[in-house]
Amino acid sequence: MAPKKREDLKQEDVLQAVVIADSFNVRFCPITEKKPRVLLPVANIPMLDYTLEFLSSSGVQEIFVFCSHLSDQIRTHIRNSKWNESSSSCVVTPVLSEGCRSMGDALREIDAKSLIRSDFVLIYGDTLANIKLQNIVEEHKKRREKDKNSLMTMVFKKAPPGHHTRCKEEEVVMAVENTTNRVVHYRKIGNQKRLEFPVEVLLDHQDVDIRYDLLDCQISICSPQVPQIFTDDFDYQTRDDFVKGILINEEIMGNTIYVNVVKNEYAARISNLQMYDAISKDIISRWVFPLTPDSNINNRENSLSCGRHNVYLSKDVTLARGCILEENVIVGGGSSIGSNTVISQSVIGNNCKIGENVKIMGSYIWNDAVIEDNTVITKAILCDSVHLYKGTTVQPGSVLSWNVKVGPDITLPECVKLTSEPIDDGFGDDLPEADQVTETSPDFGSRGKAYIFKAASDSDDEEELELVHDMWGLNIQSEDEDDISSIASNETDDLSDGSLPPDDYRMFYSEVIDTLRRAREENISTDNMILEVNSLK
Amino acid sequence: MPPGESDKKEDLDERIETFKSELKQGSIEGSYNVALKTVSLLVRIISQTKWTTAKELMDIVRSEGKKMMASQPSETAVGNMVRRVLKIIREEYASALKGSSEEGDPQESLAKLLLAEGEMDDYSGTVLNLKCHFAENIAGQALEHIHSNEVIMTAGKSRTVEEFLKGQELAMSLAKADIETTVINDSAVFAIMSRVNKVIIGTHTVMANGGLKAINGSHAIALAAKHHSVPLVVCAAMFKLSPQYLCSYDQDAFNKFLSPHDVMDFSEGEILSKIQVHNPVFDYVPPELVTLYVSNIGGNAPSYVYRLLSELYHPDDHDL
Repeated sequence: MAPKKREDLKQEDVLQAVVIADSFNVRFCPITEKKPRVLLPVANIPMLDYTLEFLSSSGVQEIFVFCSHLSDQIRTHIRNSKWNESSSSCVVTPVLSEGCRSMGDALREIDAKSLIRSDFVLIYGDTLANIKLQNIVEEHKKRREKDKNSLMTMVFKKAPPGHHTRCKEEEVVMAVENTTNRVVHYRKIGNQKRLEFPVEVLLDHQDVDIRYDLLDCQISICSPQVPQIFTDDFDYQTRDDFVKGILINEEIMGNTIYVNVVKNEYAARISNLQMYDAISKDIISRWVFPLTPDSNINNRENSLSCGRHNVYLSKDVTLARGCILEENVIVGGGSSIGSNTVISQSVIGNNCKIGENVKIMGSYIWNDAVIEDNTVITKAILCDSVHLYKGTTVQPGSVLSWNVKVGPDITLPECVKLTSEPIDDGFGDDLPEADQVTETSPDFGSRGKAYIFKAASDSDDEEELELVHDMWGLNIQSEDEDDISSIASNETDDLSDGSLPPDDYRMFYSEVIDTLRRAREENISTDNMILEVNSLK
Repeated sequence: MPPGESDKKEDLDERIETFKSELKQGSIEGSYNVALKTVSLLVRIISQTKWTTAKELMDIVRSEGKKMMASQPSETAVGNMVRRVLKIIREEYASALKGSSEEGDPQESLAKLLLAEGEMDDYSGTVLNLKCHFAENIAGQALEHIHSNEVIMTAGKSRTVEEFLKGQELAMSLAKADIETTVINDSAVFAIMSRVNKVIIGTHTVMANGGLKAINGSHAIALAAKHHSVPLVVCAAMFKLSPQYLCSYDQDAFNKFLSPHDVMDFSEGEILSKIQVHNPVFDYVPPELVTLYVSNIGGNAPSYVYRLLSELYHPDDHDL
């Protein structure tokens, strides 16, 4: 696969990248049952292509694509892509591992195969960016020359609360040393409204910024030790575990982690449907330049051209008289749009047929879909070959998976996820629809072929909560800033807190507060305080 | 195919690919460099691919050129260079044909074409030479256009204009720092214009009707200059001359849009989801606003551009 002459290149000079082409979660279910997430189209181009293009344009010469779920499809995709041609500037090698359950597993695998020779870029296969990585890698290397223990540089982008590309799930608060960009404290917020912040962060370091305005781009420049550390500490599952672990053991091991906040460039990861929506919009409004829809990044024949109001049309699109493409619209090659149809803020894939008097707002329709007359689609995702019969209404937050057929004259409820085949999860508690005859499920019209998809029932409470979060059509109100007050307390975060029964927890909390108050009045030294608080547990 | 040849082909393909990706990412700075790279690549294509007749050669050049142009439609220098090379091939072929007309054989014989090939390479060399000297040529004319104590306004960053002014600098035997420079922002253009004797700008492309495709803001400057009857001199080398017209139906393909972060910061927050930000690169300046073109072969009025076009390119190549 790799041309032989490239092996003559000096091994150390080659910048390597590890692309994790698996999300290890079910945010895109049921779509991901059939196709891995990295191959899902964003603005009609698979996510992985953006990532690879970004890496190769930033000088990465060797890329390992790590895949586990439906890995065959990814491998075939890479084989058929331009990266496999001898003229491509970098070597892309798929690494398969079926049993891999997390990013930690992936890195352990990579360590076992000893693929990494020097500093490398760690990135997810669904990341879009136009960062100039060279500078960041250069900075990282310089830092490493001075200090062998600087393990990782994480890339962040400034996006204050309320920004549309901010991911609710991935919100972090960090404390960063202002002069060196060293991370001294890192914490995911999740659903917490109150944050505890160890006071050492402020005492031990000078000039610390506490930042809540950053978007995690999920791109990191790692030192070659990183996979080894993952192997040594086999309970690290994600990068967050890793960062947390490194920071806790900082005094013992001396390892450090840095951040780089990019200013002008763009980077974000499509980690859930909301982000899919936000990032698609960013692509259309050209934030990711030069990775724009009209730049033809995977050398296809039917390239798009950009028009006024960010309307991108392929050359062989058929537009009937009187159809209106308002703004931020992409229409892929071979698609036809009927008269008096209004489309805005949407992406239409290749070879779609859209009838007359259709209204499509803020939706993503993939290839080969058929949308008949008088349909209304608002804020939904329609996968390949979806068929909506006449007069169907799809309400916000819906996901219609592959081959779903709905209608005619049906109004779908909000935030519904439909698949074309019943989900047999082996639990026996199948949904009522599954028992009925396939073609005539009344909820979805006389010609419908659809089943409601629900997340596997073994998911615990926490996961369900997250699922509510990813109902992307719903505009989740961000909590008021004031609610998120941070409390400086002397104790370091105790992981067992969560498992205490609520009553005990409250009691403990009030006692600690009392103790703290007393401590302040009586000027008790910090060491004694810690002892006292610990004794309360 | 012998291994050496396939290696060569691979090497060529790789070069073309890198050039295309460079074009796409816009990492080549200045249309001069783009043109230079295009020509050197075309020379390489001509010398390394197999061809027997002039028609074949032209087809090869045309198809490769098309691919290169497709990767960045707004970079006209690529297309211009491809057209220029095609014209040279035609000329060479015609002269080779004329030279050997005594044979009475209008068919392309191998000997003739080999001859043509040899000359082709020479000719490409001269094309390259021509371009290397264009800046000096243009700068040489500075003396005729700029007089002492004149106030000159320019916009953006153009290598050609820089050389032009430096030429002036030499003519006045002044040290580089002695040219008094004031930086103004675009909103002050109109206010300052009344004090300006001459506006000298560079351009990205000269359109077939004599209009300009120049950096954003040029149109405003040109209008202000017109209002104050200040002459607008455009410095453009011949490789910027393009047979394209601006037609109403593809106005959008004419321009290039960049990431909006120059206009508005991404961290601006909530407002971004409610607005559209456009960041176009070019402005179209209609020909009636331009007083004079200064190119490497002399000064020309915009109405004379069509003449230059027919000299430089073959009419059959206007549409590749």
